Amino acid sequence: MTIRRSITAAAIPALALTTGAALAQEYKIGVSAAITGPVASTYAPAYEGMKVYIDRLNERGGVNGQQVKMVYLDNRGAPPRAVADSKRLVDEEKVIGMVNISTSATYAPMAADATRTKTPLMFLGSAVCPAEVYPPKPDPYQFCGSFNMIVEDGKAMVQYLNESSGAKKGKLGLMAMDIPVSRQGVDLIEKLAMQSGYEIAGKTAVPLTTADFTPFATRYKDAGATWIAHWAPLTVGVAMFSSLTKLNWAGNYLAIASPTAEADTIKFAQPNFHVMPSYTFTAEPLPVFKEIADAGKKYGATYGADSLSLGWVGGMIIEDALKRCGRSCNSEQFRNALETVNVDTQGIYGGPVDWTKSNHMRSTAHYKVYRWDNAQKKVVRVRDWISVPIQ
Amino acid sequence: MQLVVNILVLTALYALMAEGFVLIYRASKVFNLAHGDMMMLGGYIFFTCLVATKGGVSASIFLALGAGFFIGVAVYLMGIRPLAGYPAASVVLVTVAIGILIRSVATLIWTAQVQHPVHLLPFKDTSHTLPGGAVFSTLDLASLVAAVVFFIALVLLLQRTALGTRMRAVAENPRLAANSGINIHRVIALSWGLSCFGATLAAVFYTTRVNLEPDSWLVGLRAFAPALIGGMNSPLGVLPGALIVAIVEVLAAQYLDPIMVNSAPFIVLLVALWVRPWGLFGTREEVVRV
Repeated sequence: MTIRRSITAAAIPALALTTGAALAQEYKIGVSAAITGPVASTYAPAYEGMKVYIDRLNERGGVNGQQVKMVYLDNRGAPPRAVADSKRLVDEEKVIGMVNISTSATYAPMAADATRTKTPLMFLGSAVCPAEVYPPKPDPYQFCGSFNMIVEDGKAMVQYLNESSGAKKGKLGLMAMDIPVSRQGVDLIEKLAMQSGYEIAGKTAVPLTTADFTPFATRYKDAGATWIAHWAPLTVGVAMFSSLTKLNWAGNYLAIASPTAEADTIKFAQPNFHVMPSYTFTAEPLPVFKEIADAGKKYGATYGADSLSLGWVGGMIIEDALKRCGRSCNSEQFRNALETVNVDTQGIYGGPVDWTKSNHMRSTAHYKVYRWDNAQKKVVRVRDWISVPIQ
Repeated sequence: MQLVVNILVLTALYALMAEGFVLIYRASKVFNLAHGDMMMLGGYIFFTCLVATKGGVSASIFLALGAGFFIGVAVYLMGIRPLAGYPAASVVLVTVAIGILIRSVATLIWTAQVQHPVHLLPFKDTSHTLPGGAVFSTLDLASLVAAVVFFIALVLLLQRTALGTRMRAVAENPRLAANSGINIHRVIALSWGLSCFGATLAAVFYTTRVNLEPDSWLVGLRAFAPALIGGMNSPLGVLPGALIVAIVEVLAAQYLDPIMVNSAPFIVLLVALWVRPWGLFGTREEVVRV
C-alpha cells in the first residue's frame, strides 16, 4: 500500500510535468492553402515559402523556446474543402490561429469559423486582402499580410501609367481573367484611369479555358490601345502579350505581379512588358534572398527564392506574433498579439507589416516596377517604391 | 483578314484536339473524359523532352508523339479493356478517374508551376504579314500544316489500308468484326493510341503558344463541342465542327462581350444537337459497346 501510494504520489507530478511540457513545447497554427488544383500556381509558392521559413525556425529552436506546429491542409482553391479544413483546424486541432493562402471564394467559411471560435485568421502570401481588414474598423479576427491588395494595386498602377504617359494620355486596354476578384481589380483601374483622362480601348475578361489569345489581342490592336493594364495571374498576361507581339502591336503592357512574376519576366524577356509587384524581385541583391535560397535548398522547396519570398514574409509575421504572445498563448492572446505585429521584412516589402487595433492590413502599400532590359540581358527596376497609403 | 487567320489557326487546334474524342467513340463507344488530361500529359512529355534535349524540337516532338501513342494504348489496355461488356456509363466514369489520376501525377512530377515551353525553342516565333495586312506567326503556320498532314494521313489510313478497313469494320459493327476474325481489342487500342497521338500534337502547339500547367486539361476538354457538332462517329466531321466553333469564338471575342467566348460554342452545340442530335456529319446509330 505504501509502495503503491508512493508510486502514485511520484507519478502524478511527473505526469503533470510531462503533459505541461508537451503543451508548452509547441504552438499550433493551421493553414488551409491551394497547394494543388487549378489555381495552385498562384498559391503553392507562398505556401512553400512559409513552410520553409517555419521549418528553419523550428530547427533553430522555435519561438520562445517552443516549436511551431503547422497543420497544413490543401483546399485546392475550393470553398467546400475550405469549410472542412476550417472546422477541422478550430474544432479538432484546436489551433490558436489560422492562415489562408487561397482563392477569395474560400474566405467566407474560414472567416465564419474564426468569428465563431474567436480564432484569428490571417491572409498571407498571395491571398488577396479582403475588405474586412481595412481601417478604420477591421473585423477583429481577420488580418492580412499578403502582397495582393486590389484597391492599392489599382491606385499604384494608374499612378505609374500617368507618370509614364505624361500629359498625353493614350488609349488604355484593360485585361482581366474571368474570375470575380480579377474583374473587380480591373473595374477599379478603369474607374481611376478614366478619372485621369484615359480613353478605354477594349476591356476583356478572358475565360479560364482560352485556347488562343489572338482573337482578344486583335480586339485591343484594332481599338488602338497604347497601354494595356492587367490585373490577373501573370501567366495569362504572358500569353496575351505574346499574341499582341505576334500581331506587331507596339504598345506597352503593365501587369500586376503574381508570386512567379520574376521568373516569368526573365523567361519572357520582353522590354515592353512592365511588371508591378508590391515586393522586391531577387534581381536586386538583398541579403534576405540568399537566406531564402539557402533555406529553400535545405528544406526541399520546389520553387526559387523569387517565388518563396512572399510566403517567407508570412512566416516572419507568424514568428513576430508568437514572440509577442509569449510562452503561454491561446487564441485570444494570439489575436491580441497580432494587433501589435510590426515586422521589418528586410526589404522584401517597401515598409513594415504593422498591424494595429484599427488597421489589420498595414499603414502603407509599396510598389516597384520591373521590366526586361535587352542591353543588360536581365530584369531591371524601372520605378522604385510607389507608396500608397492604406485608408 | 486577321479574323480569317485567327479562325483558321483556332480551327486547326480544335480539330486536332477533337479528333481524339471521335476516334475513341467510334472504336469503343466511350466518351473519353480523360482526353483533356491526356493532352496535358502529352504537353508535359514534350516539355520534358525539350528540357532534356536542350531545345531539340524535332526530337522532342517525335518522342512526345511516340510516348503519347503508347500512353493511349496503355490507358486502353489497363483501364478500359478490363471493363469490356460493362455499361458505357461505368466506362465513362473510369475515364473521369483516369483523368484525375493523370492530373495528380502531373502535379506531383512537374508541380503546379506554369511553364512556357516557347522559351525553350531554339528559334523565335516570328511574325509574317500577309498582303491584306493580316499577321500570323511561324507556330501558327506550323499548327495549320500539322493539322492538314494529320488529317490527310488519317484519311489515307482509314480508306487505303487494311488496318483502316478493320478500324471501320469495328466502328460499324464490332460483333460482326470480331466474328470475322478481327482482333477488335488490338484495333480499339490502336484508336486510343491515335487519339492520344493527336492530343499530344495539339498540346505541342497549344503549350508553345499559350502555356502549360496541370489545369491545361480544361482546354482539351473544350474540344468536345466541335466533336459533337461534327458528329461523334465522323472522323472528318470534326473539321466543320472545329471551324464552326472557331468562327463563333473569334467573332464573340471581337464583337461581343469576351465572356461569350466561353458560352457561345455551347449555344451553337445545343442548336446543332436540336437540329441533328447525331451531329452535322454523324449518322444515326444503335449503340452497341464491346
